[in-house]
Amino acid sequence: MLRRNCTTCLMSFVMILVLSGVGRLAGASDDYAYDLVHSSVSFKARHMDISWIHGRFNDVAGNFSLDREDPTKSTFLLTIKADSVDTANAARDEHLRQPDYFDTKQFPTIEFKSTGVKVIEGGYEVTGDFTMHGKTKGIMLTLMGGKEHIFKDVKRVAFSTELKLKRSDFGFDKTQIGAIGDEAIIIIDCEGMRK
Amino acid sequence: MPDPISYLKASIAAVVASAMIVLVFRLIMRKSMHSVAAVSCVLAVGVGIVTGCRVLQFSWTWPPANALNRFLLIVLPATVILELLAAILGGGEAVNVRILGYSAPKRCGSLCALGFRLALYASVGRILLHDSVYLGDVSRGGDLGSGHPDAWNFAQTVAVFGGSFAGLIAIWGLLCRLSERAAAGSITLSLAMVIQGTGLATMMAGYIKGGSAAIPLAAALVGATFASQLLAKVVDGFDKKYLRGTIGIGVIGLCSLLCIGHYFGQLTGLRAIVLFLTPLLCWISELPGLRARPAWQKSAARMIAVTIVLSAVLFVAKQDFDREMAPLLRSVSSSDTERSLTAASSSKPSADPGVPFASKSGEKVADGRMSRTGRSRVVQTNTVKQRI
Repeated sequence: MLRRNCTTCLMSFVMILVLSGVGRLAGASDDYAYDLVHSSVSFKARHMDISWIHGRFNDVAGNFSLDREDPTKSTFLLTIKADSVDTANAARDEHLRQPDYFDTKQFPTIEFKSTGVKVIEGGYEVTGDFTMHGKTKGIMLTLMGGKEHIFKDVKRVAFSTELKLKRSDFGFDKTQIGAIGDEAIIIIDCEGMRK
Repeated sequence: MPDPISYLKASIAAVVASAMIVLVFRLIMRKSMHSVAAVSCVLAVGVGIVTGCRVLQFSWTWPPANALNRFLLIVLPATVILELLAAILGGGEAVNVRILGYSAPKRCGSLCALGFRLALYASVGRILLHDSVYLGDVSRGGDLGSGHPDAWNFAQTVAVFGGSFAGLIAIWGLLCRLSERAAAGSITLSLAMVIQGTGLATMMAGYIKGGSAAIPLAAALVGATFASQLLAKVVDGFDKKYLRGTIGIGVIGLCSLLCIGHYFGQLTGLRAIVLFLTPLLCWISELPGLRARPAWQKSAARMIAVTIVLSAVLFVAKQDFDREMAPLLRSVSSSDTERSLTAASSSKPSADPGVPFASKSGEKVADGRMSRTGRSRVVQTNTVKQRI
């Protein structure tokens, strides 16, 4: 009788251990680092309301954690170095770095930090704080994608999104908007490598 | 985009506002009193600056997020208050200061004003560079600045702030000393010219808003100076040395604009130093050959000396502007396009199917746009070399 009780206790203990381990594995999220080589953050803005000027930021960092079981626990973080703006014209880039535009000596980074994640068909709807030019505003990103791929034992996942914003909403001087339109479209294609 | 019409409007508004304040004060205060006259000149500059800034539609958001806003909302008001205190406490006919019923000696007022002045001059650089990448390591414990190539270490920070403090004290002291020997009007006007020149140089370096901040300041100094000069001629007892407070505002304004233009814009270090030292050329009137000349000749000599140096600085700045910034402001000219097409057509077809043409020098030229991009990079490299 005593032996049977001991066996039951031992089995229960083992089961609890196994179940807690499985539970932890199932609930664990994957952490990904932003892969700069296979990602891009670009933008375009209207020029005199007749054409588009294209540019990109070459220095971007970030990470995101994806929880497939409970997506609301997923987080996304993106940091763009404003100094790395590149519009294929060195003189214009220098001008964009000055205080009339990005003011990179005062506001060196552009950041997005998620505050909530919701699953939608084909991706995620991510709300978060977008900080640019020293001003933070709540925005919503529609991240499409999320497919996983394992290449050389490294798990990768990718998302794409487009974001439309007004420069004047982020403290850019309205009197300096000039020939370049107030509204800008930011296009983010982000590939993450599991850490 | 630069707007010359609004700059002209702001200048006129600032000149009129500051001149009116000086004249109105004189009408209200019939009795000639040193401190009142000095206070009116300082107030006039303050009102003139506010008026000009309102015409230029500067934003007045609190807390100020960038260096220009900190200059307009913290440094300039603090300077005006300081000069008001200096005019009231430190003047020749200073009112007696009573502290807890005891009458403090007049010298106490002067010392108080000097103490405020030293504190403000020591903190101007720190205020303007607050939260910038330069002070990342110092003010944010390394959060922002660590790893940033422009972040200063402790020694650099001390050197920059110490240098600006020493420079401010030296220039203010020398100009005030000169104003005791000669008419202050030409000194203030020279200072206004240098401030306006600094604004133009900053604009031509690409920071348009920062440069335009010089306009109200320079115009307000001009307005107060002309009004006080007018009163000095028609009213007995309105001495020109009442402009000392305006010299203090001008020196701080000049230093701040140079700091903003250099550290946040693209105003070169050499140009900033030359502009900072240019007001000292007013001392040219004290050279042995000029010292004995009539006052108007000495004033003219001061203005001419400052104008020559200022013209040279602005000439070089304009050349840089024509090379770097002007192409951004004008549309692509037909001659540029033709040049690109000529360069492309004179090149032999490349063996690489992805690259239609290769130039004679071996540089790959994909199309006219690529050619222009390459040219602008070469120009940029040359400019950097020249600056060094």
